[in-house]
Amino acid sequence: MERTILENNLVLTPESDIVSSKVKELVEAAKKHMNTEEKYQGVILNLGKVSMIDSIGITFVIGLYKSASNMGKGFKVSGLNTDIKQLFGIMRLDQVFEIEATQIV
Amino acid sequence: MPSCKITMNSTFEDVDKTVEQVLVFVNKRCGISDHHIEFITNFVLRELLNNAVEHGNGLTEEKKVTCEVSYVDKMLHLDIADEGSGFDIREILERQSQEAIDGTRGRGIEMIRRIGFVLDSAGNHITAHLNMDSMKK
Repeated sequence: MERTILENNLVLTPESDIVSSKVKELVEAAKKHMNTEEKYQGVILNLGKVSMIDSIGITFVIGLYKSASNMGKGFKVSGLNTDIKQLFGIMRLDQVFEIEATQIV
Repeated sequence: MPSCKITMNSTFEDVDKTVEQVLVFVNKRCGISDHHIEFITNFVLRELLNNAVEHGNGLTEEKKVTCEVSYVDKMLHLDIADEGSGFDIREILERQSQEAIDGTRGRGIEMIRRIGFVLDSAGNHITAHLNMDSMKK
């Protein structure tokens, strides 16, 4: 998982699909990146390189949102493809956290 | 009638491999090349296989999951069987449709229904059906 700091936000960019076989390593990487000593105000999960997500992956995304909230930080998801955005809509996740289709380059 | 049957071990890596094979089958043998249908078939198949691996077979690698796929009269059928004791799909659907989305696991069956698949279960078999005509509306 790539990580960068952009305008006071920690940007996490998974480099694989977010599916059951990958979630364990994504959780470990996200924990490491979020517990950095660098200061940041919010977490942006950039899904620009993700073409598929399953429900275990969706649970991972919700877990990131909860972790960020518990740390008093903002959270949003960006760069979703049309299908994943529609899936998040069906699950009403757009009412839980901010979703932005624009991809972070 | 195009059909295929794949038997896999109970690991999430085998879920990836089986999904990949089924998507090739759906594309090449069933002639379904619509990107959205490919995406939702991918999602639904993963959901059913993950459930079979984790809840049906308790992540015991040696236990087998069988995945049968067929395409008849514009209906795609995905039939998944595990070695577990089985479950009642109606009970799960009733419970999941009443739950809020709060991050807990196990709401995938309700998701499958919302996506447009129809579900049946009998013992340790679960079948998801997708009517291609209904997706064109």
